[in-house]
Amino acid sequence: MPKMLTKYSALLVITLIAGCATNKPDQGGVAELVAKAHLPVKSLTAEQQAKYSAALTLLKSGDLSGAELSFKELSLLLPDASGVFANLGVIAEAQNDEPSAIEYYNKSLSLNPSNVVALNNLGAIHTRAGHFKEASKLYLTAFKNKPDNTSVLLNLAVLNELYLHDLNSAVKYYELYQARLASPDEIIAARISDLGRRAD
Amino acid sequence: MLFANKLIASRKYKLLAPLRAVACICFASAVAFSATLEAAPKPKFLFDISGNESTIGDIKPAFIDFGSDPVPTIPIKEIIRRYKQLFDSTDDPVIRIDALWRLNALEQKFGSEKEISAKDEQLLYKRAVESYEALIAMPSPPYPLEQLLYQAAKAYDLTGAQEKSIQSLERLVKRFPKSDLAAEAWFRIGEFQFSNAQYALADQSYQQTAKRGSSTRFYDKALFMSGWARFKADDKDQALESFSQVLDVAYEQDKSLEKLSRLEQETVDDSMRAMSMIFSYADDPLQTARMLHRYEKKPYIHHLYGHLSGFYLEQERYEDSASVNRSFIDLFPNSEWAPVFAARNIETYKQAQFSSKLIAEKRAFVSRYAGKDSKVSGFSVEAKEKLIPYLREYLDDLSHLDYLSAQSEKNREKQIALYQNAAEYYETYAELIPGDKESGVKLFLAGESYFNANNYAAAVPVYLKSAYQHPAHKKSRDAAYGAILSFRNTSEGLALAQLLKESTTGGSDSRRVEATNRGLQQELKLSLKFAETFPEDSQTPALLANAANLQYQSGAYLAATESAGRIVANKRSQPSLKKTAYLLMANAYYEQQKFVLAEENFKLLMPLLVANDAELRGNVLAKLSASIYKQAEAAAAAGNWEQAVDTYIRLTHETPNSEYKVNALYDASAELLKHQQWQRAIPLMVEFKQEFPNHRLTNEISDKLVIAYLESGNGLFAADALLTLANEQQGTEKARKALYQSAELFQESGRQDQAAMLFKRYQNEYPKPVGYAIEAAKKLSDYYAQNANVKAQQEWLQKIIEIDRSAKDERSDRTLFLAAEASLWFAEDDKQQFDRIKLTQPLKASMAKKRQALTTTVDAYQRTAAYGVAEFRTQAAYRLAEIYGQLSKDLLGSAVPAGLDELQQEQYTILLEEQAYPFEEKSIELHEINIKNTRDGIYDKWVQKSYAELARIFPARYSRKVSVIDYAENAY
Repeated sequence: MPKMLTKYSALLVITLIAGCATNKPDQGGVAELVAKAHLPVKSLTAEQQAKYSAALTLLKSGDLSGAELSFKELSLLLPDASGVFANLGVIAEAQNDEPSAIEYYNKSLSLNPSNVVALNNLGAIHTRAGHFKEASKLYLTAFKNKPDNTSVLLNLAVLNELYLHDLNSAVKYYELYQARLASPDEIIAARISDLGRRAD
Repeated sequence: MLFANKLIASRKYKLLAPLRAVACICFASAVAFSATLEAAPKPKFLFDISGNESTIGDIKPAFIDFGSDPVPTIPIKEIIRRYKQLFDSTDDPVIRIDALWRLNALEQKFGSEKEISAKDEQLLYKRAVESYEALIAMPSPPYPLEQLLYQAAKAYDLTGAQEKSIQSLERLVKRFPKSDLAAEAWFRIGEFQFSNAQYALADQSYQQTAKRGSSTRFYDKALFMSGWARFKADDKDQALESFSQVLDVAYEQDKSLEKLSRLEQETVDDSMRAMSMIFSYADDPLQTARMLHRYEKKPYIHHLYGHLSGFYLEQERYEDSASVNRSFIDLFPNSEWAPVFAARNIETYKQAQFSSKLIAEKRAFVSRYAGKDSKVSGFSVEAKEKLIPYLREYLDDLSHLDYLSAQSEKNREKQIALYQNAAEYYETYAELIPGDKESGVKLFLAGESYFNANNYAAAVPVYLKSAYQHPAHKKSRDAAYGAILSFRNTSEGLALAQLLKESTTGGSDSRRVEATNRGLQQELKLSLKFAETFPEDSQTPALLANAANLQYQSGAYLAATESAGRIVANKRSQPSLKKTAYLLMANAYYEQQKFVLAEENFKLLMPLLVANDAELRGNVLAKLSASIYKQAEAAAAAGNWEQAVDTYIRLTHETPNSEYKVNALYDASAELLKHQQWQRAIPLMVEFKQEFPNHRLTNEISDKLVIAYLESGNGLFAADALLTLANEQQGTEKARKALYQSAELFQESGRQDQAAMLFKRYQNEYPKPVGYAIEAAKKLSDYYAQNANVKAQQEWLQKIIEIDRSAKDERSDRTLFLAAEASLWFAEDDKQQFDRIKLTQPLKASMAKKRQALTTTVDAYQRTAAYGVAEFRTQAAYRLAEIYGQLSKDLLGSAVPAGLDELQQEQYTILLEEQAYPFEEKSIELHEINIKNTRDGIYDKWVQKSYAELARIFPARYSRKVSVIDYAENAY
């Protein structure tokens, strides 16, 4: 492993350790989300699963209104299903209704603070809004729960690179992202190299 | 005919035993005879014949019952005739005497049916006398000798042989001194002797009779005659003694000596008359008194005195009569008869027409029996009642006399004494005769008399009794009023008047009259009682007014309102009194904190005020206003703020000139403001300011007015108000704030020009504090910017920079901000000028200009960035980056000089690139510096623009997108 990577890995470990050592909840609901990260997972009935799958299909197909209707029905049927609300958040974002998206993502996180979709996408919203610290917390929570999620890794890398100006962390996350790809991305590789030079 | 009547009067008739048989027979014959004439009568005679009688004399006597048995049907005349016949026909002295006795008995019983004439009677008794002498001469008369002597004496008397008769009686008393007949015998002897003027002997004889005791029927007569005998014998003392004994006897029968039988009464009267005569013979009253003195223990002594007094009066010896009366009074002052004598004296003098003595006696009578030391305490009820008529008359006379005399008396001292006398007499009359129908009027006159005598203290109770303790009379009202007038002249009344005068004029001890003041209580009692009893009287309203005033003065407000209310209700009350009443009621209600009623009455009072009541009118209005104000206060205290406000406002309308108006306006405003009733509060505060511009509360009102305007959305009015305040208090901190706020409000209300003017004025007048000054400058710069007055805008922007620069301790984030903003404007302006410079040929020259402009602009932006204000710093940084970038572009885009060949052009271009590249590098550098602001949390427009520009210039490094997860695979 290149020296830089080793250094970054150490940094990652330190960061992780630091993140784990931090028990103090901070404001804005993130701490609460972290505290609820390890809640037990529920299961659906067949019928419920069928409905969910159907709604998901609509979403994937781009039928936003249909998917929205279905997931809203599911929200009544499964008022504690974080995935339902996360999907509603995705739909709202796609409809450029950012306030609703935020609300849905927060609702999803209140039900399951580990919901990666909500964590990541809400983190993206904060990034765009310039709330970099808030975005960082969300991404890191998602990373903690799903360390192999490429969206999360990529967003962490970009955040550190452009907005937090922590080039070393940016390298780390780019490398983790690169490692998760089926095949290395040349653009990512170039970034990693550029950052490596600048960080020195 | 000494015995005639006595014989008739005698009912006891002893029948001697030996005669009884004869009588029986005679009578039996008579009966038998008469029986043949009529049906056999019931036997009248009871015989007791046992059969053992040997002679007629043995026959036990029968007796005739003349009792309840009816008179035999034989005519009396016949019987008498028979007896007479018997008397005439017999020579037997015994029978004759018996028959005579029978005749006497019949005559005694049926005296009205005498059958014999006086002449025949005389003859009859002559013959009887012979029989009597015959019987007397007998050695053993058939009858008791004393009887025979007695009867003989009677017979002699009937025949006119008085001396014989007396001799017979003398023989009787000598032989039978203890006989029952001796008393009469002696009496007859005394009568004979008296008639023969043998008074001493007669007295002795009478005394002999009297010695036999009071059981004899001649006792009192003997005493009576003894008295006369002694009188005749000139033994007056003894005569008095006898007469007094007669009175003693009569007194036993009737203690009044006025209800005796006619004969007895005459005896008593004669006795007293005789005694009076004897008393009158005294040489002087002293001697008379001594004689009377002997009988002072006698229970009828008053009769003696009275008779003597009357005796003198008959003789018109008035003084003597009065002297006797006085003597009795002096000797027996406690006797119930004393008043009678006193009254007699009065009658005596009346009869004698001795006016002065008459009056003196009346006074003495009244003094003695109705005065303070009257002698009637031991009198019986009857005796006291007997005095009443006298006292009534005398008191009436004396009181009237003294009263009239007083009226005409010139000497005041004497006049007073007369009035005093009259008063006491009137009063005494009423006291002694309380039920008398005149008592009420008498008491009134007593009051009048006391009043005229200046004895006011005595007049009051007397008047009161007359007015209220007697049935209503024609002077009741005058008495009631007199009591009041009298009281006012007493020491208490005068003291009260003085006290009232001091309290109303603020004298040396100006206090209200104490309710416990006795004078006050009395005045009230009198006045109110009058008003209650004589509600229709013309004086009643004035008295009620006075009473109400007193009650008010003493703090008895409730009572004062009641009294005053009665004045108002009284139809006779004049407007002036009603005025007083309303004034009192209003003030009394005010004192009782019954402000509604106080107001009501003040308003009722107002129409009654006249032209010269100016001062009073002012006071009333002030009080009226105060009443309304107090109502409002009370409503506010009770939480009824709406009512309080309405009342305050009402006050300002109804009493616009009142001193309470300022309070009312203020308090109403305060209440409205407290309850956020801005629109309602505003006109009140405006009015306050207009009417009271110099009041100590005006400033506060001004402040509140501003608040009200602001809260009610009347910014312009608030602005005006603030401006006014600023003008009024120019130079003060408050004025400074007001001026600034006014400018702001004008600005908010769209009055930009006016606002600018005020901000400018503010700038000039108040350079400190820096915070406001710089803001004002800012507003002015904005104003001029809006009005496209660049020059003026620049001046104020420069002013802003200058203010911040010289702020020293007052420099703040805000001043820095404004200064940075102003600086940025200048930098932007420099940039615009930089942008306007085009790179033209010859490039060198234009480039020099461009460089110059660049330097100016860069300096300007750097100055802006130096303030450290984030948002301007990022803008400055971006602009700087932009400038350099633009310069690089301009260089690269500048025209190639003409006349160059291709190679030269290529070389020219390479040279331009070499010139331009540093600028581009600089631009990138500046952008990169700008985006570093994200470390401090700054991600404003300019940072974002730097990011965008970097992303454009250096996409490999700066063009990035966030990655969004498209869906949540799992529900949970």
